[in-house]
Amino acid sequence: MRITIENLSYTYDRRGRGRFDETIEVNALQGVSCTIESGDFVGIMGQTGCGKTTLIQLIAGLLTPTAGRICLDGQDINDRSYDRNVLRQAIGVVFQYPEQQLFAATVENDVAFGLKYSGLSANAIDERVKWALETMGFDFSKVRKQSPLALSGGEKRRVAIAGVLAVQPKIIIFDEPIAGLDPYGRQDFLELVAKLNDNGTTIIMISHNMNALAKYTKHLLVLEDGRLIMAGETRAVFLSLNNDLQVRGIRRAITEPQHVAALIAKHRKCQCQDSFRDDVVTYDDLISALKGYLLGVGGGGSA
Amino acid sequence: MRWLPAGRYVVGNSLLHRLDARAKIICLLFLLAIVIGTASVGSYVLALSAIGMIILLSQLPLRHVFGNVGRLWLFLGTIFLMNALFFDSENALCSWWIFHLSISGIKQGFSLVVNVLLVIILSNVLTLTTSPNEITTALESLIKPLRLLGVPTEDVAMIISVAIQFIPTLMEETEAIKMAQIARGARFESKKLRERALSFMPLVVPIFLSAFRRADELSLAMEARGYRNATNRTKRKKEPFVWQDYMALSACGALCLIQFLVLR
Amino acid sequence: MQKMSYVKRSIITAACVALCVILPMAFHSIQNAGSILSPMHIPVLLCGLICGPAFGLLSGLVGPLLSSLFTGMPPMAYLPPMIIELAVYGLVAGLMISLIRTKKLYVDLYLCLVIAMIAGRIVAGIAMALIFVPGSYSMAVWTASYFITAWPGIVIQLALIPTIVFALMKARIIPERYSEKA
Repeated sequence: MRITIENLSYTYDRRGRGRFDETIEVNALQGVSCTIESGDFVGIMGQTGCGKTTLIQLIAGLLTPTAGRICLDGQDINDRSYDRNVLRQAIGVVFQYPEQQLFAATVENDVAFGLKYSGLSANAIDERVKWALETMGFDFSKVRKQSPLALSGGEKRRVAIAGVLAVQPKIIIFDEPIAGLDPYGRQDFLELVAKLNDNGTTIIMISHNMNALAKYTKHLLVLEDGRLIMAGETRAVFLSLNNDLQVRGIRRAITEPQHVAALIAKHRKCQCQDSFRDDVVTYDDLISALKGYLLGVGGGGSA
Repeated sequence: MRWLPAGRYVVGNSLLHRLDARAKIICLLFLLAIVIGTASVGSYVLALSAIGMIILLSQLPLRHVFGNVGRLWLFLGTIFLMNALFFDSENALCSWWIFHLSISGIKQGFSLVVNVLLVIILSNVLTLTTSPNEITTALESLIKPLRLLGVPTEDVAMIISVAIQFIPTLMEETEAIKMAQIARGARFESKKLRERALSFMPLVVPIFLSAFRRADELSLAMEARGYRNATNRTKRKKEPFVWQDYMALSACGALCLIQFLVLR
Repeated sequence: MQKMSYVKRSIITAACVALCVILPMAFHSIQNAGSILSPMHIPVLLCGLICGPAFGLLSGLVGPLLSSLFTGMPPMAYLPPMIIELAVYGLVAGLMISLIRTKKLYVDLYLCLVIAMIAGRIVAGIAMALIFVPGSYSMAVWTASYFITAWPGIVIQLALIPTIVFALMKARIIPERYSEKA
């Protein structure tokens, strides 16, 4: 399913903050346009408060835009005639700290919650729940009758995500999914998301983790103060962001490998005039560049 | 995104805005007594002119003062009809089944409606000119005498201030939970009572879990830092009453006396 | 359920008071939910059940007051009967839960809730008739307003509150009432 966003704006009011009826309008999002193709893996980055979460809430149809349109396969999701049910089945959202949304008496019931209106038979629902829990690494027969509230923090989060997977949405949106996970948990989780993407699910992921975005996403959207300041293929975006920093004279890099590559390049510049590969973004890039460097191949070319 | 709702408070700098909230609450009690004590035409004149004066002094736009009165027509209408039709069955103008329309009933109903309106307007003026925080702080200091009856008023004050601190945080979490469940397909429109009850589960259960979890964490942190109870806390410096406060108090007190001793 | 420290019960009471302000706002945007659910009743009843009668009483007194101050609903003039009703809920729920022990958690909770809800409505009805709207109140209106219109709310609360208590115990936020299988 293809998402088309046209000139999207969102403003929220803060009533009664000023004198009398004055409302203070806060522009959370201004004139954002982009297209997300089916099967894409899109990362959204930007500083806290730049409108990332507002954007995904708009895409999921949880907020109504102040201006502009969001279309799913060409149909405006905020049109009166649009069936919200279709939207809910098509787009799954994993919010920050999804473990907070658990409520049912058993893990099984909680995971099945989203399937209640799907029209599937009881058997089919059981199958889906089993599949979702096993995908999230649970032993279905062991965990199905447990209370989700009595599980550990990490397990709770996996149950909550299983609840979204069970619906088998065509598009899954993740808001900071790896915040608060340990390094191994992060790795496992990202591999799982990549696998879902390989199987054709469109993924939209908000993250502050640049290395993860660089490694896993195909396209990137960069937001600043509610505006889309950059969009494109992940590698190109990172290289150009990095370029911006250098132009502005900031001695930092976006991803860690970029930082290391810059240090090596600087070091080499002092010794001899040819520079280190300048298109390093991920650890894989860095490793291949270092291999080339150490074996004396040097020069450009991408991995 | 954290902010505290401001209730109906309207920012301003009138005499009423500047009065001490404690004085305003005591004045409100006097004025309520005046309204409840209305019996003769003279007493109504007194109550109405006092309230008119207060509205003028508050410099509030009238649509704010009368803002929520319009929505109460059903309630006020019911009060009026109940009295007009049931108050006096002896001297009824006309009777039908259990209904007895009487002059005294109409009078009684009318005066009750006026009284309720005046009470609403008075409390509106208080909440429009005083921020919620000022009111709660004032209440905390006004309940202090209850300590003599064994009420731990410091603890009560502590609970109120913690509750106010919780409001923005919990509001944000509640919104997040609501969105998450709607995204998962939660619906709340079922006609059947049982299903409707069940449909609130996904919303209410997580909201309480997260609120209680926060309370649990905060109380653990407080106990870890050796908190026992609020009795020995450093107190906020109290603002003394100024002459305007004393003026307002004595004016309202005097009106109250006139109402009960002279006009009754 | 009374094994919790004084500080913890105080802070849980504060959270319940805050929920008295938040829940009506949260349910406002959902059709009819506010009027049918009476969302302010839930935190007060829970506070009584979990923290005991004194804290339950306090949450019933303070919750509606803060809600009126911070959100303007209910209007101040409506507060007194509402405060009385809720205060009795919190107080009676707290008293009953320490008196009733049937060895079955759900039975205990249902009994306490039903008794508290009836007591609160009776006291509020009497107070309305005697103090607030003298002469205008009759038995019929009282029954109508408190039982007929509130019926869905009562059913929903009876379904929700024990579930919440159960969930809180499962999540180990409050201690189990019967340590062996409840």
